[in-house]
Amino acid sequence: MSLARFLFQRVLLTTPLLVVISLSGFLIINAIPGGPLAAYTENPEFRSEDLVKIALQLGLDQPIHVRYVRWLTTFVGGDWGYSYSTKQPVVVMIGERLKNTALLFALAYLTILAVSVPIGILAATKAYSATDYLITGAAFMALSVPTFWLGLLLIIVFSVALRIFPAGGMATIGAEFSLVDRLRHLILPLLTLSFVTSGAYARYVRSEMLEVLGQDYIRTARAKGLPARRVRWQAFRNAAIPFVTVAVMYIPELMTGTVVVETIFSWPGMGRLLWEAALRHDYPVLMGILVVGATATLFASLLADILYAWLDPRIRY
Amino acid sequence: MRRSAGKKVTLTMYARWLTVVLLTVVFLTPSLSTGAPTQGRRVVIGIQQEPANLNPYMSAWPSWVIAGKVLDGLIGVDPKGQFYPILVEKVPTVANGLVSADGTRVTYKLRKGIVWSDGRPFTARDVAFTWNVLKNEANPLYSRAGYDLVTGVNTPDDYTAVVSFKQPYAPYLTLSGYVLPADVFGGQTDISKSAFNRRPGIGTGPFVVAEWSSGSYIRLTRNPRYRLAGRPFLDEVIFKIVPSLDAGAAQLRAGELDVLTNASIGQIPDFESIPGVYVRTTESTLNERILLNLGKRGNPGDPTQPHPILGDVRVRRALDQAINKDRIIRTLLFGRSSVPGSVVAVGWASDRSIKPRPYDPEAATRLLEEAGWRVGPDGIRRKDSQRLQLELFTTTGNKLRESATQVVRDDLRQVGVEVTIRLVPPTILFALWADGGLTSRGDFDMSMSADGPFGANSIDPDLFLSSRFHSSAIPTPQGGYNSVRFRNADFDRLRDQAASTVDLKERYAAYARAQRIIQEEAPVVLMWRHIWVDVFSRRLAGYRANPFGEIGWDLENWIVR
Repeated sequence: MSLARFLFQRVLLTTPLLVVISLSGFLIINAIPGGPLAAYTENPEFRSEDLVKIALQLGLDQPIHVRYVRWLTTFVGGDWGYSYSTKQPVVVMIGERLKNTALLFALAYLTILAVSVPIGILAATKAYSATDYLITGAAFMALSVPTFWLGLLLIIVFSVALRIFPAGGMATIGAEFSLVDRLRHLILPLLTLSFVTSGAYARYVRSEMLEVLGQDYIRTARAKGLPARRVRWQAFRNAAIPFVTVAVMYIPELMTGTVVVETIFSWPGMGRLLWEAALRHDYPVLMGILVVGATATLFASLLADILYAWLDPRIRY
Repeated sequence: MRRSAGKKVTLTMYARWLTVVLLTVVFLTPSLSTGAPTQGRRVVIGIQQEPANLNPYMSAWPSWVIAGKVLDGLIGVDPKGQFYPILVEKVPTVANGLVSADGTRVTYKLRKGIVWSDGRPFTARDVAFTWNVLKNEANPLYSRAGYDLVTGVNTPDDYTAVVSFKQPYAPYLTLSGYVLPADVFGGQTDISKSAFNRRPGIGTGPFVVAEWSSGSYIRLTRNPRYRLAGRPFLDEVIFKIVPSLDAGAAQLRAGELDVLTNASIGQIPDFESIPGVYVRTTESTLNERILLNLGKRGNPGDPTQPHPILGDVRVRRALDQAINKDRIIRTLLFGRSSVPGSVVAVGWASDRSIKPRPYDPEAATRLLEEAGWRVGPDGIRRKDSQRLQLELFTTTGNKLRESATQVVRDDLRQVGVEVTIRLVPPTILFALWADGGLTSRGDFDMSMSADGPFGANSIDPDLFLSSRFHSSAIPTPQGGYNSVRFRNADFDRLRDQAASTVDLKERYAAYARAQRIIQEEAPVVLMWRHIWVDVFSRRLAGYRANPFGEIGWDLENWIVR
């Protein structure tokens, strides 16, 4: 089977898969006790008659299968609906927040790879030496640190005590756009977001490398007189295969995994949007995020499979 | 050999390069000040929640705070609970002839010489337009109460607006709290999709909204044409969205915030330890109280049958007296509150002569014995075959409540009542009947949360008293908030009487007696006055607390020292 055919089959599978995911998501969201009107009922000002009117306006009086079909047909037609709380189009809301999270996430992702891969390789090549123990110990500590705690600690040290970096937000309010200003606001959330995963990945890379370095074909390559650098690169190519799967599957974290960092650093991103929408039972927004997230996951897994094939000539679809 | 030496050099070079880059970013950044410099005449206020939109009729707090500084109301409420005129010359009452004797016509005489921030004069056209918008069913209003009784608005001249009601609406003074500019909407009264709702840039208030950066902040700038000369003293006010209170505290310390609103009560000592801030607590119109289910419990419950335990008023009074509320206030609220006597704790309608029952476990014991509950071998009272066992519900995510319920449980154990605490998310506890709400359906014994006259109606108890205690509001699948299933003919009559007239004195007389009935019948156990905790930087001055207004109700008086 050729790569093209493989890709075609996978893409074809994506659509029914997304429908199934959206349906189960819709049912689960609606099954949770409480509803989008719960926020209103907490307010003493509200009268029952007004609530009924709002329920009608939002179409909540319809049976669930009718509501799902209506959502599906309008969604596929490009209309993602309006948020129950802000009345803004869901596409606009997700678009705004996604940009902000994507920026933070992309940089964090690059940082994680730039830090964890060289360090993991270094630790593996110097296995069981002092350097290795230092690196492994540090990585272990890094991955055990709670993100919330780390973020607040960084704020206390760098914003409150040293006053070098701002304590939150994306940019200085009211000031003109400045790259330096943006970078200064990015650093602390970036560090917080990448710290834990860098530790985890460094250990993972190290353990994969170690396993490969112990293989017979590596010993053969060395015996044949291949320079150490080439050997290492060959080893890495083999170790990278499982690592690539793990690393690529991190991409869907973009959608929602940043909520803690966004909350602490007042970063207006997707994670916070999902959290707020979930608390308010804002169904249209939740469904929009669900579909985008599911699509991201499905394509990430497809990407992982493609990279797999590229890295390992033995794998053919 | 040489190659591995090369690799080592590469890694060290890499590490060095990384260090250089980091150091460059750290030390070459221009100034050492961080975030938004809070200098000049600008104030940064931290709020935890972003408003849904900035139309105060179509959303709740914090929209009222922000939009309330752009759009003035006709009448306001001062910290003492007295009405005062803002855009009108005099507060209309029957006594001064601006309200017809039967209460169905209200005349607003507007102040002259006021202009909108874009220079246009403020006239009765704007007032009439606002009323018509509020009557238009197409607009998703947060509350239509009162507006659905309006039959028409007349403007005999540029500075007079006469509103006609189908029947007298007793809380008429709370209506039209924000006057909209007629010309911005092109004559359309359906403003549900207007961009003004996201950015009210024109108003008669001291500020206008200049920018809303979604998820980050909302920026207000000074209105140079504001009617009070010289005010506001500030040039800019930023409402910054700070979802985490811990991060908010850090930002206060770092000087990136001037005010943090709605801090949690349990963090008061933490905030007081921050240098250069002042922690202000304001007793609000809300009371933390325990609802008692007077009807038979079930899912759904049966309000026609009395609760086997709580149906007896002696038991309810006993519960009230068995809990040591002063101790809770002292230890969990740091002494910053008090026990209210009436469900309407403050304002013109509150009967201050109603005092809370004193903490008296012996009196409680006597009442329980009198009601037939005898102490059993395990220390818990029983009557016939029923044990005096109750479930106390409260909301998750609130440390103060969690601690308080434990004190309640211990206190009640002392008098032979067994209490089981159930923590439930508010979206389930307070959900509609259709969504399985527990208090709605009557599937609870006791439920603790805060409630009271709120929002635009914080000064008028009509909506609160009728929706919480009137027998017509007992919950059904269609709605209703009388979760305690209180049914008292005298109370109903008094409330209806008070709602049928616009005369404040008559209404007060009826409300005073109605409050006394609630106190005697004890369908709720009043625990403490709910307090708002706001933290201010000591740079600021000129602000006053107002339990009937939002923080920033007097933003035009704030100054930066």
